[in-house]
Order: sequence, then structure tokens, then C-alpha cells
Amino acid sequence: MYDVVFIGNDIKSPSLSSFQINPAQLLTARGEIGNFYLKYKDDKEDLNEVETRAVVINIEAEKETPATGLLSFERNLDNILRNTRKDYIVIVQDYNELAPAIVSKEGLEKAIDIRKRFPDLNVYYFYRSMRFIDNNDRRFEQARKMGIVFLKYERDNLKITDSRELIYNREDINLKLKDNIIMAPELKPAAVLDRVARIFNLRKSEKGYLQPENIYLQPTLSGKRGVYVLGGARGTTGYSNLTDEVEFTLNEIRNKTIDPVIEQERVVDDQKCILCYNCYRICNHGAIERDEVLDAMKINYLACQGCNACIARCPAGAISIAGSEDKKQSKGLKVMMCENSAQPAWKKAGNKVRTALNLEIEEIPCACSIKKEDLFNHLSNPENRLLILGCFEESCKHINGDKRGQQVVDEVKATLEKLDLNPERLTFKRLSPRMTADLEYFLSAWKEDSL
Amino acid sequence: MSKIAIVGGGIAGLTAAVELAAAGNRVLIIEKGSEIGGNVESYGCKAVDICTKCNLCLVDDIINDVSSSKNIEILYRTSINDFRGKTGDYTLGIETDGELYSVDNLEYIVLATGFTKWSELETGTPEAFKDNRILWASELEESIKNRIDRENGQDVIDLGYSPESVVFIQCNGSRNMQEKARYCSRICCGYNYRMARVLKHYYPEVDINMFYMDIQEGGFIQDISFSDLAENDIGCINCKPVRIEKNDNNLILHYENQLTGKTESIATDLIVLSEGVHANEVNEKWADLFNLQIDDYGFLMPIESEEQTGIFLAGTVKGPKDIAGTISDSKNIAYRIKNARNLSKSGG
Repeated sequence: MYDVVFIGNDIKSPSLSSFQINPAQLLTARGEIGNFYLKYKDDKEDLNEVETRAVVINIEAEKETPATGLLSFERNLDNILRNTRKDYIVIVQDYNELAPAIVSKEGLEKAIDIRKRFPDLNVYYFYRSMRFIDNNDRRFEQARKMGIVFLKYERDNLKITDSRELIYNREDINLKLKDNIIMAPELKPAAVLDRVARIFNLRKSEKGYLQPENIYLQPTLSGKRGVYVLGGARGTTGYSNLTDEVEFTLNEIRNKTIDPVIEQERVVDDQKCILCYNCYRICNHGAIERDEVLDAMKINYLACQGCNACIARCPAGAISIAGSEDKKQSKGLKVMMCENSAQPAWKKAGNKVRTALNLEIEEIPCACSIKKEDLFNHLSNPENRLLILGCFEESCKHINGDKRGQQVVDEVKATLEKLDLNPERLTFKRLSPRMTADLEYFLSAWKEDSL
Repeated sequence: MSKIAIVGGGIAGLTAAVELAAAGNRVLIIEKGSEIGGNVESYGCKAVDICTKCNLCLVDDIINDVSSSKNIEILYRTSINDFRGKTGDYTLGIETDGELYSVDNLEYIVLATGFTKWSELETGTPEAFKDNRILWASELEESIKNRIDRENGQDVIDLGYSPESVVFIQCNGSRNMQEKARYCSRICCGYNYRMARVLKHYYPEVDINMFYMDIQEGGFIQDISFSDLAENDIGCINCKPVRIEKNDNNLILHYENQLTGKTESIATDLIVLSEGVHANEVNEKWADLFNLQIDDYGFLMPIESEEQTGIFLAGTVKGPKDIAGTISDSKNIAYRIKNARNLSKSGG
């Protein structure tokens, strides 16, 4: 059993045992945090399996050079620069869109290096925004002192023609430069990320990286517990704080998987479990696994974040929280509040407001934990109304719990509509924990409207 | 039983406290004010129709955990004036409400006393900025924090008037020799970009322009691109304005168009100034007391390895960081303390 397996680049750490798998050779992954089993083909095409507590996906982003036919950062330019008949070299950054900070850093290093080794060449550096990470501020200053000419451009005043000529016009400067043009790269998700995402069943960001844009996943969590994403696998900003993120990730693996603090709250009753795998599919954290001995599903406590989605979706009622009581039948106006957003906002509202509004409040761990039958139960009385308050998608602790909650609400509303039971009595709204004033206003409006 | 002392009850200190307390350590938070939360307490949610990933929700989660933890003790209105002892068994001399005490048996000390906003510094507000139509980002924040999302077309951010145009000016207290900050504070671009989106959300008709030197990344998981700015109808002007002219109707900013070299001007109802992140002046005291090094800008650096001395630095005492960066840095500090503790327990 390894502490961590790196998919892609390996990072050595004295305190963690590790193994490396080339992403192209990875075949399957099963298991959860604490016990992942990864199958891969080795260089001799033999099939192997490794067991690991955690996985780090560390795959470089692909670098694409905008405006084809020009020089790239990777290329060794020594020969070209030694034999050039021109007296300049040009670097262009941000050609199509703002480059991430790592590109600014590499560009400055490149410019300084060329200036040092080829002092006879003028270095022109065209950019739209210099971005600062590490010592970039100092590097930028140093580069200017060395005589590198920095020229800022906007969309309208720099153009590279099909014949690879750069034309730059500013009030006091008009330049036409042909040849010796180095284009800073644009970062794109590596093609192999698709495959890795499929194997680990990871949701991707809009731009195709392996970290969905959710604030709870910062800095390097992937959504599936125990699987971390670093650098170019995480996104274009994944390189900006890479040293810190590597340190964080390795320390988190050590603290969360080797010597973890475990709270056992949710349990699956193996006598009720029908192995339908609903809970497995619904869980956003990869916290459900199959207990081979009992032939039932079980909860991986390292991964469980306590959203109760599995409880809500279990058709057999097999999952429960130890020590919880049955809910009593509610009457009138009821509000279900997510403990990560509306509930903290409500707490801050103050006793006076809370007493004045006098609402029945149920605290829920996530909007995804609402059950259709509970909703129908409450709304079966035509006098009753129900308000469900969840989070915004990007700040949902359970990754897309708000969406799942919304789905349930939409379906219940559609059914109510069909039964002619006034679906307007059921409302779903998104809030953040800081929106206390919004919440107060909304609740009083909702109450007034309901009465 | 030995304890871990955390100096500063802002988000850096609280994050480390929660992480350490959850692992069964006894934690003492020493806070100079009467409340925990620090700078983040003054921020408001920057969601529009969608979340703009300002990360404040993470903070509430942590504050909830602090209040429910049995292993965390908080000393309010407390300052530190003495430090003695040896590695693994330190004593701090403290002062609470004028009374002197000492806390001993401290295994580790985490300094998490944060940063100072540029506007809070004495040199921070030049004469030209004194006008109630010129706001620091933190002053606009106050209005955003108190906003109410009324859907009936009323003014929702209470500025006392409804601005038709807003201009953001970036890089105040940053990247300027005279302002004692040659560095880029890195967080203000993302911060004001979110502010601009909130203003646009509540005043869809408002004209927004941003004076910038270089647009920085917007944080851990959000990058800002020119197309994002264009999509949100935020105009960009690449320079710092040279002069602000005030009259009864509006404010006029004069600037040099970088393309044409000509002086142009833009009139606006409201100016919002970004604020650089500056070192807290208490850092000098920490440097003396705990034998730490101060960098060119007043931020702290450890001289020896933190594991050796048992004195750790968390969050913005080390330099500018955003909320998410501060939280992950502090978590990492807590992990390192736990690792060091396990090592010393196992005699390694």
C-alpha cells in the first residue's frame, strides 16, 4: 500500500511512500480515499495493480503557440540568435487572451536570459498585463534595468500579419518587425485529462481542467475525496502558487489519510440495503463503497462530508444518522435551511427578528438532502407552504447539492401542478451565509405573501 | 497539558485553531480585539446572480467550527508583551484589560496577526481623495455588506445616491516607491472586479471603468480575462489617472491615453480606490520578541525552520494573500504542527 500515487509527474517526499503511473498507461481506478486500487499497463505491456491511500493527478497543461510559424518558448533559440542578421528579438505575451502568471514568469526569465547571453540584441517585450507571482515584481524591475524594452499593447495597436510581420503603432513609436518573434504559449488542458477524468469519474471545470470551480475545493481538491489535482491538471492558475499547493497537498494527504480523525455518524443497515447503488451514484465525495463481507454498501468515513444526500435517495431507507429521531409532522409555514448558508445567516439575524417572524425552521445539511416524500407530506395540506434555502453552486460545500435540491423541488412542483395543488406553495432560493439582510427581507415578504 | 497558542483571531488564526483542535490539541487564541474574525468580518458577500467566488462562505464555516469546538479557548482584548522559555515549553506574558498574566506550557506558537489596509495607514489618504464621492474599496464594502436584495427596483446599495457612472482606480498603496510598496498586492484586481460586478448587478445601467496597470489573476480558481471584463461591460483604461478634478456635479479624471499620448478625461459620479495590502506594524514587535526577520516591506520571515523553533507564521503576516490562500496556508501550518508533534511524540 502506497501513501500516494502520482498520475503524471512524480514529487518526492521523505515522509510519504509514493508510486508513479503514466496517465496514458492508467486503465482503471476503483475504491475510495484510504484504499484506491489502480490498474495500469507497465512498459512491457504487463497488467499491474497498485493500492494507495491517495492519488495526485499532476499533468502539465499543453502549451500552444498562438499565430503559427513563429518561435515558441520551448525551442532552443541559440542557433537562430547566433546567426541572425537582425539586431533584435521580440517576445509577445497575451496575444489572444491574458496569459496566466506562470507565463509572465517564464517570459521574463526568457527575456533576461537572452539579454544576458546576447547583449548585442535589442529585446522587445510586448505585453498587455504583466502578472506577478514569486519574484516577478523584482524580475520585471531587473529586466527593465537591463535595457529590455517593454511595450504595452491593446487589441487595436498590435498585429501579426500572415507573413509573420509584427506591426505596432503608438503615438510616438511605430515598429515593423519581421522574424525573431517568440510567442508566449497559451495553456490548454492536456488531451489525456479527458481519459483521467473518466477513469476517476471526476467532474471538470468549464475550461476542461480537473477541478470544478467550487470554493470548497481550494486549493487542490478534486471533488472526489483523496484525489488531488496539481498544476496544469487543476487549471491555468494552478501554477501560480504551485510550491505552496504541493506542500499543502502532501501534508493534507499525510494528515487526512494516515492519521485521520474520524467521526462515525452515518451508518448503512446491511439488512435493509438492496445494493441498488443509488447512494454510490449520488455521492459527490466518493464516500460510498461496497462492503464485500456484508454484501451491502458502506460509508467511507474519510470521504464522508455529511450532506445526507445518500439518506435522501436510499429507496430502502437503509441509511441513517446514529441517534437521530423521527421528524414530527409540521404545520403551516416551514423553512428548510442549509446549514452552510441560510442557517448561519439566520443565526446572525438576531433574536428579535427571529421571534417576530416566528417560523418553523428545519436545519438541513445540504439542499440535496431533501426528500420528495417529506415535501409532499408537508404540502398535502393545502394551507401549508414550504421554503427551501440552499447555496449558490460555486459555493455549495457538497459540489452540486444545490442543483440536486433544485431538481427535487422542480419535480415536486410539476407533480403538484398536475394534481392541481398550487405549486406556488413550494419555493427554492439560493443564498450565501453573509446575506442576513436579504434573508430577513425575503422571509418577511414570503410570510406576508403566504398569509 | 501543553497547549498551542495562536496569536490573532482572524481567518488565518481561526483556520489553524480549528484544524489543530479537531485533532485533539488544546488551543489558545489570543485576540487583541473584542471579537474574532479580523478583517474578513467587514467583508460582504459578492454574489450576483451567481457566486463570484469571493470565498467568504468558507469563513463562516470556520467561525462556526470555532464556536462549537471544546478544545479552543479565546482570550479577548489581550496583547502580548513577553516571551520566554525553551522550544516546546514557552511562556507568554500577556495583558488583558490592563491586568498582567502569563500563560505557560506552550508547545507551539502560531503568529497570525494579518495585514493592514493601505487606507488605515497614516500616509494612506492623500488630500485629493478626501471627498464623499471617493471611496476606499473597504468603504464601498460596508454598503455591499448591508445591501438587501429587494426585487422591486429600489436602490439596494445605500450610497445616499444612485451613481450613473463609477470609476475604479487600481494600485493604490501598491507598486509605488513613494507609497513604500514596490510590490504588487495581487489581490486587489480580483477584489475590485467582484465589486464592479456587484455594482453592475444592482445598477444595471451604471457605466463602469477601471484604471489598471496590469490585471492580475483573480484568485485560486478564478482567472480574470479581458473577455470576462468585456462580457460584464467593465471598461478598462490602462494607466493611472494624473489628476482628479472635483466640481459640484461630478468628478473628472484626467489621464494620458497610452495609444495616442493625448490627455483625455472621463467624468464620473463615484470613484472607488483599491487598497494595497501592507504589513501590520506589530510585525516589528514579533521580529524582536521571537527572533524573526522582516523583509523589505515589513512582512515576516522565519530565520530558522519553524519546526525547529516551534514558532510558526500563518497567513498574511508573511505577505499578501486572498481568503482562500490564507485558509490553505493556515491549514498547511496546522498540518505541519501535527506532523512535528507526531514526530516528537514517537521520539523521532
